[in-house]
Amino acid sequence: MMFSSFFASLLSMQNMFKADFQNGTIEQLLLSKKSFVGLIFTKTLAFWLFTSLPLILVSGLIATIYFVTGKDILIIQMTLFLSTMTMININAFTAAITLGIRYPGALMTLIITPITLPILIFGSKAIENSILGLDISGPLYFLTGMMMLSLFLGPWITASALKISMD
Amino acid sequence: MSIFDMGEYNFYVWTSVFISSLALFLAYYDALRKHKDVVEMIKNRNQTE
Amino acid sequence: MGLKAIYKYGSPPNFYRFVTRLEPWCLYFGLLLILIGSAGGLFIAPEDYQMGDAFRIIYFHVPSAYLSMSAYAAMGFASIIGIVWRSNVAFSVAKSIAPFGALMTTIALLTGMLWGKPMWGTAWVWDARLTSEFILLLLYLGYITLHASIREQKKADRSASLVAILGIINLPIIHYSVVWWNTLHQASTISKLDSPSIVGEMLWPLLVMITGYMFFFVAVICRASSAEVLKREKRSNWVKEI
Repeated sequence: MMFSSFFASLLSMQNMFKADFQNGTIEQLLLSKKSFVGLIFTKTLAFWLFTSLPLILVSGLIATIYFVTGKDILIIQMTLFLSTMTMININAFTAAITLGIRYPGALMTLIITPITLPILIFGSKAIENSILGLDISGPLYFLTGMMMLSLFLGPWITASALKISMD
Repeated sequence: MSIFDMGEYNFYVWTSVFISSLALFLAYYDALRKHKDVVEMIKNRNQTE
Repeated sequence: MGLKAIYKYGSPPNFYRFVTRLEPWCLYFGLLLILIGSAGGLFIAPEDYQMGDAFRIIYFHVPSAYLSMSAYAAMGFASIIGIVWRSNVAFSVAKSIAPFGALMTTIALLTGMLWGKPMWGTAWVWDARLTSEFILLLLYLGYITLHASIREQKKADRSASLVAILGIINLPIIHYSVVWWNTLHQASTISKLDSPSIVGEMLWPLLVMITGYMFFFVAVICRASSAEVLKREKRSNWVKEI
């Protein structure tokens, strides 16, 4: 009984964690950017280094507060790593596309949510499975796939969006 | 059971019918109105030239 | 149809004429089919052995869901054509599809909820199919809002098209969600390869409804995109002769 309530709160915390993180990134990306694909890639990477990396490291600490054990901490960090990579690319694209609009906040959320939802879902599924001792390879494969996809396509699509917005 | 009296399902089925037809109707009349507005605007322009 | 025909209809005046002539046929035929399908589904089809009369919602739920997806596919396709060929006509079509598609998605979700509540006891569950259909609604809304927020026409077209094209990836997810995951939503009853798992008298109204909806969809798009094309071309000569 105690375990189930503990798991329940833990799982909801994971979702909150991710949502928070996602919104933070949006605000950070509301800067004006003028670059080409390679530059964008570097820029997104730099952003990731400054925002996500600390988050991933800290999450290990926070996880301990919730009594998460060793292997699970690693899984959480890995999941965050994969999903943050993807989300940064998505957020970059959305920021690029809404450049020049006043108060793009709500619009960005509207565009970002449908694209990011699958990532959130698979991410929390992975963490959930890991804690429950179930197989985690499925969600992790998906997350890795999405990350690869967004790493390669992301900068390119963001560049196109920027070019369109900059006209 | 008659179609108009399905017991508890009555409400759900007929509400679905209603909102579906409403949506179809709205969709078409929205398109129709847009078209009429544009044609109006063009006629006005033609007259003021 | 050769490439030439596409170019011919791609020009605004030809498109306008073609679409204006096409529309009444699609409209009346579509409405007729919908009427026949509704009658068949509501009155003629026998009661379902498991679900009683509530299953009749399927005659409205499935066509709108099916259409919500095909409309999005059409919108994505039109967006691609618009970007590649820089066609105003294609962008007009894409822009016209969006509100209709969003409406269909909403109806699909709502009728689904109306069916779920009496049938399975719950109006909503975050399973794969319902969630991805909801995502589809968000994609439509994002498209519409983005298009409305950008003041410059060409920029709005192209930015929104990017969103539309990106969202295409959601379509296979919706379609195969019942295959890949364990969902509350039931699996497909109609597939291209197998014989349908639904009996004849229940099947034909469904097919008629889907077809009717499609024709109706074409009619609405005809009307809306012709309005859009007119609006964009309002300064050119051919418009003055309408």
